[in-house]
Amino acid sequence: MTLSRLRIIAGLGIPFFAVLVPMPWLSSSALTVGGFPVALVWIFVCLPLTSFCMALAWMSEDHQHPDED
Amino acid sequence: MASAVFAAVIILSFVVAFFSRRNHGRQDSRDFFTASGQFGGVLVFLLTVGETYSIGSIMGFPAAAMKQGIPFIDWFLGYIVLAYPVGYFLNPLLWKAGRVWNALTFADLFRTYFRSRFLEVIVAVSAILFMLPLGELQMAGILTAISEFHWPVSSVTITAGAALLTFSWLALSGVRAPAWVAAIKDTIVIVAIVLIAVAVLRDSSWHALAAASRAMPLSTAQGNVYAVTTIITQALGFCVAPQTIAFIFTAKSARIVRRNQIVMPLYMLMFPLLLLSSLYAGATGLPMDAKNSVFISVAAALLPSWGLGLVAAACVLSGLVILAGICLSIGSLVSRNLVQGLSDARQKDCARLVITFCLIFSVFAAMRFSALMPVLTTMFYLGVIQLFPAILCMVRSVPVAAAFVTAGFLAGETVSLALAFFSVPTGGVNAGFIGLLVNAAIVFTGYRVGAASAGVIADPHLTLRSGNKVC
Repeated sequence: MTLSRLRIIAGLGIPFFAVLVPMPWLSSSALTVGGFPVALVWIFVCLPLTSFCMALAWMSEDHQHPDED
Repeated sequence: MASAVFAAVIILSFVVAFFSRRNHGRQDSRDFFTASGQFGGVLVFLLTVGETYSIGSIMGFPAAAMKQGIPFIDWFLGYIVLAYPVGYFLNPLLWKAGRVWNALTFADLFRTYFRSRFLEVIVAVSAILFMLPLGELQMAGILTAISEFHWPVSSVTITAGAALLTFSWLALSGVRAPAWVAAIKDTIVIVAIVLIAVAVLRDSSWHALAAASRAMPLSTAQGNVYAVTTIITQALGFCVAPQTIAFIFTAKSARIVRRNQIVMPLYMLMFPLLLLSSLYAGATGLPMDAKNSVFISVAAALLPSWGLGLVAAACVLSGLVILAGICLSIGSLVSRNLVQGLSDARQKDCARLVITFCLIFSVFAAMRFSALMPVLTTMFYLGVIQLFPAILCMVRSVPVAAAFVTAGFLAGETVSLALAFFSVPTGGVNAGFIGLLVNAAIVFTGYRVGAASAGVIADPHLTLRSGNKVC
């Protein structure tokens, strides 16, 4: 697998998977974490997770593009 | 005291807008619309992230979260947070396309790449029609925020004052004014949200807030289908919104545009604090004056007078900055894409005239059509998302003939608007998503039949694929 494909998986694939795949189950669930619905907790966890994923993509390749200056 | 703090912030915004023109007193149209592509990371960040904390978010999010519960919170936060990774890959390509093709508006890209005057006009007209209700929405939010002061002035006076202030910003220094005012706005918004969150946590128990969150409605199977398809539709649509593309063109480099996207989801960490105001209102049964006034009502109940003034100022500036961006975007589309052949100076004059009409329309619509506008606003993403397949073709240099792109765009618009307006049952699937599939299928067909070569630039030096030569 090329580095370019890896950065798309890290920067785009993981955030979409993290938000969309568990959503149907979590948002219908009465499960709680610390007294709060698990769907709420998870969507808020996805915020820093998305930044982290894009930072991974950036560190893997994107900061090296000479044509972006 | 509240009124004095509010007035001080509004005056400060005008002063900042005035000084934003320093060293740029004689602006050409490129500087007026896109700051000559000179903005560094912070100003580009503040402009592009501005919609995250628009007046719709600050006032609408707590109100809708309280009423609609988990399904709303999921799709609202879901689409915004997923728009950033899409923008991480797409926005630098849009920036490069703008530089290579000397574009100031998204419709300039269409004109250069597809070489179709008809396509340029229909995308520009559609974008204008979809953006106009957003301007009215800002005015309606501003009215709700200011109504907390109970000033003895009419709604027309308030909205006319807001329109005058917005016009003065733009007339002073074009896009530079909202960019600099956004710096004040975001600082005040963050302070206001933190102030209210601290006040809520001091006044209420953690258990009461948690209980209020558990009392929120959960999603249904159909609600889940709607949430997932809406998130995909709006996350893509967010990145190709005309005003967002115009803001991308203000950046100095593609690297700045890409790097900013990484930080943006962290900027959303104010939303958990914003949600506290809904939970507090739900836990205490706080009486509301209007349906979107949860945030302001909680501020009025918990904060001292100066705090309420600050919160109201944050809401109003949020509305005005977005309104300025919308008006500027419409002004540039009319003066560059609908009216052809204007000189540089005339483009700016024409844009100023159009901005004036947009502001007058926003004032008029806020008075007369306030019930209709929220319906039209929901149409924004249904329409804007239909630009996505064409924009993807442009930035990836996919050869598709203008006729197929035009047919896809019109079919997507027609299908999604017809489904939405006539409330056709779709099993929960977002109407814009269905339109997007139709649109993408037509564009893909155009690509497959190879009919593209007649209407598409084939110059390899114009390819925008990441890593390739761009000029």
